[in-house]
Amino acid sequence: MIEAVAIFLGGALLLYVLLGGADYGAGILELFVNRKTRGQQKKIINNAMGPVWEVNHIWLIIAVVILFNAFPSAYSQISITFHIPLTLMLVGIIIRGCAFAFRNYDAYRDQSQKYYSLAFEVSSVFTPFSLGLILGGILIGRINPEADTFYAGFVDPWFNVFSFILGMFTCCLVTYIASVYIIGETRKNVLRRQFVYRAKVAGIVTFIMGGFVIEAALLYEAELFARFYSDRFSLACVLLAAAIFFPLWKLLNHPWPILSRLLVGSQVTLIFLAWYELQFPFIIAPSDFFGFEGLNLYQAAAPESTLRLLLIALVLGTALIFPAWLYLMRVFKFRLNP
Amino acid sequence: MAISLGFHIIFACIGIAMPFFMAVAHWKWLRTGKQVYLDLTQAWLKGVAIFFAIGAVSGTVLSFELGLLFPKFMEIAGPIIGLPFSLEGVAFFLEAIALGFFLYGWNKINRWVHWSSGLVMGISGAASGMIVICANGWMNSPTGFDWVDGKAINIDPYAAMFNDAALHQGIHMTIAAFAATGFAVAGIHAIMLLKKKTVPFHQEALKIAMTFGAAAALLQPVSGDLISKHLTQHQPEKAAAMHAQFKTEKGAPLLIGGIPMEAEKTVKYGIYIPKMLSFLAHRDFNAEVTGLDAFPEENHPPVAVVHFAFQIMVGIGTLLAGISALFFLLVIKKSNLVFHPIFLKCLALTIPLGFIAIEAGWIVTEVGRQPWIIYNVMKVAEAVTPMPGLIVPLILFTGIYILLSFIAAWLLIRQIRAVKT
Repeated sequence: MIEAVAIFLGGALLLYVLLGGADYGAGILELFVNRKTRGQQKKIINNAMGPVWEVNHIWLIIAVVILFNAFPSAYSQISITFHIPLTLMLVGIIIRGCAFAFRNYDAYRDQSQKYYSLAFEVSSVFTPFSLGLILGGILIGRINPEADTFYAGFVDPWFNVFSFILGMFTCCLVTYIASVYIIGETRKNVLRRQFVYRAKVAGIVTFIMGGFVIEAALLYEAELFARFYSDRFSLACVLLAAAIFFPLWKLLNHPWPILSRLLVGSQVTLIFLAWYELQFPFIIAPSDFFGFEGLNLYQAAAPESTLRLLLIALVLGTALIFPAWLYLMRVFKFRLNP
Repeated sequence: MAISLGFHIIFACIGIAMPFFMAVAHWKWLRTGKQVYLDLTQAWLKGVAIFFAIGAVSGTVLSFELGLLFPKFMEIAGPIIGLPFSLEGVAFFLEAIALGFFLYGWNKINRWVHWSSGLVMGISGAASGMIVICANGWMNSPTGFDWVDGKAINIDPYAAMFNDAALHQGIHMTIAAFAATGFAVAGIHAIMLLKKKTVPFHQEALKIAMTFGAAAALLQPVSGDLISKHLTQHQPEKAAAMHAQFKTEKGAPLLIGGIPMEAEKTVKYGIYIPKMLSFLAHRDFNAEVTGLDAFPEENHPPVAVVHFAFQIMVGIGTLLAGISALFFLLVIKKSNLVFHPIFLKCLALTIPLGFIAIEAGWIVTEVGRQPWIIYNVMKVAEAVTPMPGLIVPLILFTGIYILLSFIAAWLLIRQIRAVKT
């Protein structure tokens, strides 16, 4: 039962990165475009995100709700230790969402558009970055149970090289996802060629950043990553994800955008699977450095009666949401915009 | 936390009520084909898109902020009242999907499917509001667990969700959402009518919004009465603070206005209606009403705040109910009378009132529960995070919310101005 709930939690987080993450990536992409096509690209992004961004965003809420419902002590610990980056992320979420809505639905198109776009782009960078900081802290478990200073208790867990590298990796990853998704949103050849080129660059940068993440983790002697080279499943997942680059390269400009989207989606899924395999059964990783024992699923789990009802709610919810969600995707994402 | 909630509540209420207003206008367009109804639906929709986005992101912030500020509360409450939160997540998901269809589905999907997506938006919005209030109801009336040595055991999330405050509070809040939004929207269109701009458009808008608003405002006192009876039994401290009833007495009078002096335990400058409180609370003019003196002083909520907030809420509620009754009378007499300038001016003045009443009601229920975060189980002070310097996020979020409120108001004015004349 605990594992089943954990699968839902992992799934919600994965979908958030694949869908919600891509919306942040789109904001980051706006920063990387030449002036001539800037206006066109904004329009494409507005149309692409408009119908779906709020839905994409809800995966995060689902993940949080599962976390505090099923693993309350982990939620409590994360909220206390990562208060600062979580607050930054929330500020980012507010600004990004509002700025996007404002620029899309303002009754007049005037000077104010510039400010909305600026707010949208900047918050699109620092929201996933903050998320990466938090994940970084959770992954290496830099939580000092005996911390007696503000710095040791509330800053050091996430203010370190590994967290920063993971933050940058998260930004690269979402940008890469978005750069692949966006190709299918236009039929204009000039734009598509530019987008394809950019997706390739983003792919290479993300790949290199991924290497840095692993190196930095080994540098910090993170316990989870020590297992990496001996864990066949994780290794296979990561290698497969890298191998997918080859077919993806060829298919980026294919008239069926669904192909490249599915491929990049499976790349990310594989990386997440590798991560989950390493992380299991921990929610917050242990660390030898501080003598922190970590917090695993079984210690943190809520009582059986809660988990059972939560699972029922999740299964029923999925049965209710998925058909509607797939229909939404079919109407807005499987038909090409002119 | 309180500020985030107070901010979110307004946008959430608009998100609950507006889809129904739009559904009516949209329905009329589909049936009659009159352009004015289409224009109205689309004009409202543009506003709703903005308000919905703000409501959605501020709601997300809340789900995190509960943990950021009250980690110990969530550690205990999570397993017990996680269920309504999960269901709320589902309802909210459906709402967002429906919004996507409704906003972008014009000419893309079947028009009646499109219409029902708007309705689904409203229904799931109202459902998610009701469900999340269940969680708040639980804080007021905690059930579904046994509290032994500072730990919750024998957890029954189902019983916790359907605690006995949930239904009363949920109904009261949902009605309030319709009343406040209805009056605010009607008021805005009344101003435009006073300026004699695009008259048929604003007349139709006013009629739809006011019908919802007035019906809700007339129902609200009934729901309020049910709640207050429930409170006298289950949260007597809160009820006592609302009425600034310091002493336990038989045949207690109803206090109107007045300034409670907490140190001296008296009320200055109050008007009393003899024996009325006993009647309202127990349906018996001579019944005994429990006062604050029945409880240890450290468990008293701040009386003055709760009392003032309660007076404001009830005062506004009564006023709006009166205007609503007048509205229906005018409609019955002659439907054009509601567009009389005096009545329009009246409506224009009521724009903010409904939301002020909602905020006041929120203060009553939350401050009235102080010092408890879970009534009679856990105090706020025990739940708060060990993180120092909480004033920083407080200022940060307050600043953001104030800024957003101004931008939202400014955008709304621009949208009203953009209505084709």
